[in-house]
Amino acid sequence: MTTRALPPRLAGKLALTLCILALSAAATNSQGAAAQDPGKQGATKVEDPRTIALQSWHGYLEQIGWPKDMAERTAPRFLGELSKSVDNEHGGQTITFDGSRPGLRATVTIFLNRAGNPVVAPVVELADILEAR
Amino acid sequence: MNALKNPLCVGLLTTLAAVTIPVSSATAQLTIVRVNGGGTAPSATGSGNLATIFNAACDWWERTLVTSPHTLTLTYRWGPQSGGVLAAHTLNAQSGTPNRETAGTIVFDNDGSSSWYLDPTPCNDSEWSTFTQNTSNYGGGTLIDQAMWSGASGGASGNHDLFGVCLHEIGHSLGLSSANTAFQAERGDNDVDVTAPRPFPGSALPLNTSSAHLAISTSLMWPSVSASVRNIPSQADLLANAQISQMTGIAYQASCFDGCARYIPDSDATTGNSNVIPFGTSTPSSLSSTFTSNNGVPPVIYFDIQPSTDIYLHGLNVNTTAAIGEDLYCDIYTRTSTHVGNELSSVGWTARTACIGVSAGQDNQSQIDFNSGLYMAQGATIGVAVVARNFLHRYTTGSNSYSNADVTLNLGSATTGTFSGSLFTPRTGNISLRYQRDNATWHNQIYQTVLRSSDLGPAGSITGLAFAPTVSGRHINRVLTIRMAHKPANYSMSTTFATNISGGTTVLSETDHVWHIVANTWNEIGLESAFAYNGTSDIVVEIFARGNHMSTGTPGGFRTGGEPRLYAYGWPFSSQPTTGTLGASSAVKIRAEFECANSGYFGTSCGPALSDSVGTPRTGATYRVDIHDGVPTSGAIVILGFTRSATSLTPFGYTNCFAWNDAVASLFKVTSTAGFAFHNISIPNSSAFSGLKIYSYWANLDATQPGGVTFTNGVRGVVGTENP
Repeated sequence: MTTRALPPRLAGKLALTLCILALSAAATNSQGAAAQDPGKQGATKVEDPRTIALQSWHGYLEQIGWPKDMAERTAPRFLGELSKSVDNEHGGQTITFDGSRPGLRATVTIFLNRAGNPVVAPVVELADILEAR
Repeated sequence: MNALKNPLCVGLLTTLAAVTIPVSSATAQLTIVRVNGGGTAPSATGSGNLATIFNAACDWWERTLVTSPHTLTLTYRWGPQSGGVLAAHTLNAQSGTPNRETAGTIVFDNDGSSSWYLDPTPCNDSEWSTFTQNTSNYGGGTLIDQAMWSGASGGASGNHDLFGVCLHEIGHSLGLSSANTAFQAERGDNDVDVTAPRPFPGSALPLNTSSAHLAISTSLMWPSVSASVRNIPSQADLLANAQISQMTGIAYQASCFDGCARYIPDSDATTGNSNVIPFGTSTPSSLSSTFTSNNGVPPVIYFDIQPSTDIYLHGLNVNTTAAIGEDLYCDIYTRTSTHVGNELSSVGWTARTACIGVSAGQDNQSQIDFNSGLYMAQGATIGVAVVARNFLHRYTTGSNSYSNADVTLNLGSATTGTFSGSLFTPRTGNISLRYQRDNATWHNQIYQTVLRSSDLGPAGSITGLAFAPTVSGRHINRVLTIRMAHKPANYSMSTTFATNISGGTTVLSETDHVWHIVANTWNEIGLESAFAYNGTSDIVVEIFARGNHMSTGTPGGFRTGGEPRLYAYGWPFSSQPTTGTLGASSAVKIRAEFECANSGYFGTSCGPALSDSVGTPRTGATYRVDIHDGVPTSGAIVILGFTRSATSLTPFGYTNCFAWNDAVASLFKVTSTAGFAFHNISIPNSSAFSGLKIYSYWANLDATQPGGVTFTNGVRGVVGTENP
């Protein structure tokens, strides 16, 4: 059998090609792993709007002085039902949940992007109202 | 030097008195900081504005919740509200132990869908005709759960009252709020359970199941409101917030109290029944001799009176040669035995009162009124001399006796001088006695009523009590004593006078009290001592009035309202009752004056000249005291003082005249050709002088009167920062 050495120029090209392939594979593997990690970037993507709205109530109530446990216990009463959903400029939806009842205005509005993630702070309104009889 | 007679000392004392007046612990502890957030006012009826109305509503809540110090900041503004929503309250922050809202925002609808009435005078409820206070028992006693004005007129009709809506929304910020954690903790069983120390413990005030409102449809904190009504915080509304926010008490009030005058029950001096209790008078009894004269012209006549029952002699009718319409001036002297044989000596005679009247012409009855009534006990023989100053008597020759069931009249004699000159006897003076039995129906009265804390409002110094008579004239009491006592709020009166007035303070005590009253207006009675009101209690007012009579004008009564009263009348001196008749309503209307500027005249003159005032002694203003009907182009001295008195000047030769004050200062004036002079008093522009009393009267040089000087009635001014 006869053994012949590769010319130096060809060997350089091969090494470069292998190196690129290796880097590409590594990059591909990295993206796939990230997509499958629910604890990272994709967490809100899997939450439904109702959960996001409820979390917004938690945050609001704590902000106005409610203890955390009390806020979590009471917030569902304020949440109510989805009352409005309209397209927004972020390519997603602006969604309002309304828990209002006679004498009480309780609404939360969340602003989601195309991927379903909140893009700006929610608007929560909890007001005691007087109506004309 | 008597410090009290030094104006500087008096001013200093007054200043000290003013700053030591107790401030209500009930009203000073809740502080609402108001931040006007602006917004565009909507089209509305009424010329008021949101800021004024909101402030008045904040004041109301500050005065009615009793609490440890708490500060709440409220931002208020106009802004659009959806649907039929009139206004919305949002809690922005809460903290503390107990937990309370510390910041909030209130937005009033301006999108055009709400029809507003913006009251330019939110503390005046005159746009509504009917005030309703409903009561219920929620387990802790009967309490007021509705305080509402209805019967709207003008701009208030058909529109929503912004003032009432402000009261409602501010109410949310004080406890009844869905965002308030104390409310959430309380709402578990769908009611507010009232506990001590708050009043009405044991009450369970029902809550709306869906929101932070009361489930009491009559209350302010009901979740909706009709047009054309004005709701104000009831006791139920106040209690709910006091309980949720752990405030210690409430001070329910039915009025706004933006001025110095607090009216019980209302400010209308022209409506309400006329009642002769407690000051009222009736037509006096009379006993006449004859008015067919056949002799006369001496200036002095004498006769004896023998009462069969205790009487007050209020005046006489006489027969005179004076032309019709001429003023008549005289003096009444009495002695404790018959006049017979005593006409020519002044020994045993006492000058008792001046008398003033108008001639009806010869052989007609000319009425002369006594400046003070003369009490005459049954069984006595009282010799009387009527000494005319400027007229001559007509009489009938011979002696005569006249009597009825009350009194016997034995006549008489005459002299040409006062206990001197020529004696003519027997002569029957032509007279009529005008008197009342001591136990006449409305003559002597003890009376008590209650001024409710809800009507009195915040603490302060009550410097006057005013009443609303239905007649005009000169009302006289032989004895008048007024006492006031703090009692717990919602006090139920006993039928025993002493029980109701226990711990009381005397604010007026006077004999021969003269009160010049004008029908259908508020007339301050002349309180001598201020009453320091504590801001939370009811006040029992006791009026002890003996010898009610009118020496001029028509007998009549005083306007009544709706508070309870305890009364006894028609009793004789010797058997003053200790208990009375308790009435659930019809108490006399009263205006309590908290350092209001006020002026009125009191006492009587002993001659033609009279004194009155123009304006009131309001701080920063000029107040004027006048003399009129004096001697033209003559000397007149205005005498000023700070303490009221009634010192007889008879010992100084001015028969039946009185000095009406302590004479701190005097100034000499000259009357005009009309017998008029005046003196201006500038009141310093400082509230430190509020409550200071300024007394004045005039001395007028008058050669026709005894001693050559006559003295006017007194004028009493009370310094205040505002008029009632």
